[in-house]
Amino acid sequence: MLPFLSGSKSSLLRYLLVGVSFILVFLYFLLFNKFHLYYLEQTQLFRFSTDYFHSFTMKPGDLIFYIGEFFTQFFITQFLGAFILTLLISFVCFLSYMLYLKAGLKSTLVSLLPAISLITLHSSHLYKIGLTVGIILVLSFVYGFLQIRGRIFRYIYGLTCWLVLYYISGALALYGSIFIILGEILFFSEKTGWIAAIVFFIFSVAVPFIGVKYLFFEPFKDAWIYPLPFWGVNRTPMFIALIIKLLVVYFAILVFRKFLKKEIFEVPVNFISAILACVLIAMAAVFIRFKAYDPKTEIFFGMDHYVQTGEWNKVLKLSQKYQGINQLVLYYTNLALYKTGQMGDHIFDYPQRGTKGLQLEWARDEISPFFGGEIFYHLNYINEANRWAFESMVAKGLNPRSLKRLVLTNLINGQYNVAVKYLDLLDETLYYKDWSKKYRGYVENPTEIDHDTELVQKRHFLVKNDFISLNLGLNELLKEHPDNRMAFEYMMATFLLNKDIKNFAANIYRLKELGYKEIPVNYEEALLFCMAYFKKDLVPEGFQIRNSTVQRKNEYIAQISQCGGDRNLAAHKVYPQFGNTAWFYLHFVDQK
Amino acid sequence: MNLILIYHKIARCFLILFAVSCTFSCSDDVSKSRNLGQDVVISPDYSGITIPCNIAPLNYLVNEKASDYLAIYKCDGKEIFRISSVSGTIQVPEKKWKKLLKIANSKEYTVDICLKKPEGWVKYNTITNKISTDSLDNYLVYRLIEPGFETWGKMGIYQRDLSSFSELPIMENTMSNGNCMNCHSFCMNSSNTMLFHMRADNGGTYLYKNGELEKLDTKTDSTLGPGVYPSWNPDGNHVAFSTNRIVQTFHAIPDKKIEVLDTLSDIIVYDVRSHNIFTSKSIASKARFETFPSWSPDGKSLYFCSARAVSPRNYKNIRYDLFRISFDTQTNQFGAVDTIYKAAEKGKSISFPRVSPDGKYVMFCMSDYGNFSIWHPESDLFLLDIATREIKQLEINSQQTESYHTWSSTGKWLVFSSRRMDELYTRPYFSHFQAGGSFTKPFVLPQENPGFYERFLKSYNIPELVKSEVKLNPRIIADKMKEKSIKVNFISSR
Repeated sequence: MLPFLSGSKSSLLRYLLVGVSFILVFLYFLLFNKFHLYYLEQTQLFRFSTDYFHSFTMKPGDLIFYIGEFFTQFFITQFLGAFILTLLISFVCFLSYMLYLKAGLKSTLVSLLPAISLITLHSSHLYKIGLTVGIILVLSFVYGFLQIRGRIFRYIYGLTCWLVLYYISGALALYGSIFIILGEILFFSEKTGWIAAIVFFIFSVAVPFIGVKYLFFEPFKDAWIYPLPFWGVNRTPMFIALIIKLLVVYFAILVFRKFLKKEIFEVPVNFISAILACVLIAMAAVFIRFKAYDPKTEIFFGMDHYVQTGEWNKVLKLSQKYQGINQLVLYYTNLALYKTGQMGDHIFDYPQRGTKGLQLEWARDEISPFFGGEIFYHLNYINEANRWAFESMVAKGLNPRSLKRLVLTNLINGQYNVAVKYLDLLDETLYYKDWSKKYRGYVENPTEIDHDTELVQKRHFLVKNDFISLNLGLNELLKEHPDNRMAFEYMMATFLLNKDIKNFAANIYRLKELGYKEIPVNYEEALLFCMAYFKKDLVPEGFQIRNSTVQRKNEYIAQISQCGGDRNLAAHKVYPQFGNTAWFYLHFVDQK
Repeated sequence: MNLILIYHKIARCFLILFAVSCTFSCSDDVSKSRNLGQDVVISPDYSGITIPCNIAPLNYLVNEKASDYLAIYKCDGKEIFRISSVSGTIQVPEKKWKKLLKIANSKEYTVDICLKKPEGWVKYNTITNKISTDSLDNYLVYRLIEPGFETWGKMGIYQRDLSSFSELPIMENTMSNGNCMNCHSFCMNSSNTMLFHMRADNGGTYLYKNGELEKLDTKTDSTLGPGVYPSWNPDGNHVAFSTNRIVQTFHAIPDKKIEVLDTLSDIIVYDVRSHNIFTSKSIASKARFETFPSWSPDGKSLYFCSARAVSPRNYKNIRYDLFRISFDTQTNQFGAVDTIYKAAEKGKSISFPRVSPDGKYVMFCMSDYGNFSIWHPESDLFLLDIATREIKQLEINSQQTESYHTWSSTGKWLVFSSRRMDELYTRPYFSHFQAGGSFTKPFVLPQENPGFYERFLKSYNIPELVKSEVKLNPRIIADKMKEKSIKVNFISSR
């Protein structure tokens, strides 16, 4: 097949293909994964300290995660995050290109194939960047090996560098061994090739054995598989596909080269390959959009990000985009509703199902304490906020969010010595030392806290009379501080969502002491419901129910009465107009 | 070749000259240092203490700002060595430290700390420490764990050579799927007789005796659950365990965090030879919570804590007294119960009784209520004279929690855990027990990096002194983990 472009033009086309791919990948991460990248940054705490480094040296394979966390710290800047990921993926592609070229194939297109797997993997928040670093190290090692023609020097390089590779990337080095064994047999094709291959094989098996027996304390099988099979990967098949793909192509090239006896086979740049490139990019785009990219998770991480930055309207905006029901989404939505002063008016605008959206249930895992502690801090239940932050720090590992929360809660509680411990750790980071500096000032001079609005407000609500609560402690918090408006609104929401109208009615009087000017709409609806049920006037003194609410109630009843007692029909009929009312929830929504 | 040698010799001469001139200029300046008449602040606080003759170097940070720091170590007025620093970190090389321990054994040694300030060298009040001829048991075994609430990450049981900074794991949960492990215990400070529990997938009590390791399932249908808090009878053939139903709740006020309490608890005794468990109504009554067994050094008495069984709702009224029951190791028969100290009457509660090796004293923690003293900031160490039944609040206590404690095999040293450093993370402190029942000022376990405790986010849990290295490591235990547990039998109440 003849090339239809001249040499310089085909080179240009290659560069164009690479350039366009690079830009597309960068834009994909920049525009579609920014919140997921922010989240990744929140789950690590890269520290410039020897003890932090030391913690990654106890087990072969951990150092790739050290390097991975080094990169992840920059994800705090959206642009840098996308750029680093694109660079890492490009580097894998570049190395595979160089490796294949060395083995005997010149094809930009084939070298771009790993990018699809890597983009898919990096689209998942559970994938650890360290694994990509590991792949890069392996490919670099193999490429270096193939570069050395001199036998003795090659063997020395192979054995010594493999030891280093094994220590840094663990079992990924064994993957590298397959490349060099194949290289010895098929690429160098020397007389001693088989012997060298056997020596490399024995060496690759023996070193982990010696390591696990005498040097490292790790489970026996981990010596040969950690960080494989795919520790930190939730898209295991994709990772398997990636490493098999890299190896199979390499093997095929070597076999092809050996039997065709041709040094370099160049995939021509012609009509067919151009079409193939376009088809591949289009297919990759479709695959990534529908299989790799998870828009729902991205929305949630967006909400999580805006909760951290206190941009509550943006939280609600993203919540409205979310299709379906998700407890975490609802949890943040309800928090944002309170924060924007809409909880009493708009809680039923969102798909409430019982009280699960008010609080995350405690679980000894990485997720529950990480996200679930947020509510306690805003409720001014400081001990619980401290507890959940601590649990999160332990379960998820050191992370900036938990440490900052621990600093704040300990400062609020007046436990400065404990706060200092966490400030010391934040001091060792690139992006949080300034934050730490501010709060260290409070430790050195606690009177400065009196000028910090947030901490002063939190201290105002500190609990003085001890209690033990298994949930949000709303009743106790209100008992301690009747002016805790959030505790009140969450308590009323709990009553409404539990359909506990008796307690709802019994606590409506608090509106006055909390300084409400008017009754929130959802409360009005619930009050009308209660009054009809209990057959008495429950409107607190000094308040009145809006006429519009009464009119809507009449209309609601009228529509229901047209359904002749058919509950399902009634629900369908009133939903479009009254689906966001307390009436609809109380009548028709299943709490579970 | 010759040229290179000549070059090296010249270079060495210059270096020596430079070093000598530096020392002289430094000494000259220091000798003229102005005496501030103040105590220097060092961390950890290693001033005015008594140390054993086999402890690792006491490294510390001088918490004062200066451009140069000098610590001059002397004994009988003679300088032994000096350590200079530009950062304020005083790290004594092990060789020099051992020399000091040898020269100053049974004597006092002094440290003059001089700081170079813009106005010249200044000197603080001399620190005087004493080196006791009473040596400390060679190893300290502890669990390292986050002082968390319900979650844990990496944890393990470690042994630290107290004469150096060497720390080795006995077991780490990275070898056992991240499970919890706890309650390591030794018989009379012997590293040859040890046990600890593992939970979850690899659950069981791992009992190590004279080179043999057994995995036991101590849960029986007739007991509340598996063994929890252990105590080895000095005969090495019996282990008393508490068996508890434990719940924990969380406080809402700043000063308190967690409440760990028993809803049921009894004491059982395990016979190592027969794999049998037995108990007595006196130590396993439904009307009371019995816990924290502790054998007397002669093995004929079992001390334990006991409280009136109260609903968890009234947890503030659960208060433990100290009791003793006699025991015949030959017949496995219990005798009469003796009330040793009624803490509940005084509105207090006792936990972790430990009898001194001479059998004269019982040390315990006392707090306002409950038994999980680590989460009680008011928990202090007390010493009870068994003969007079009088108790004494120890001078080694702090404003923060003092909790778990172990006597050394000689009874001359004590290690205890305390939260005095930062109110949360437990650290092991040592103190010398002196004639008359008093203790010297405690000092924290020395670390190579004196700033270690500031960064370290794990607690030293259950510090136990042992005479020699425990010949166990995670590989040996991981191998045993795969084996099936030996099921112990409950035989009867005695």
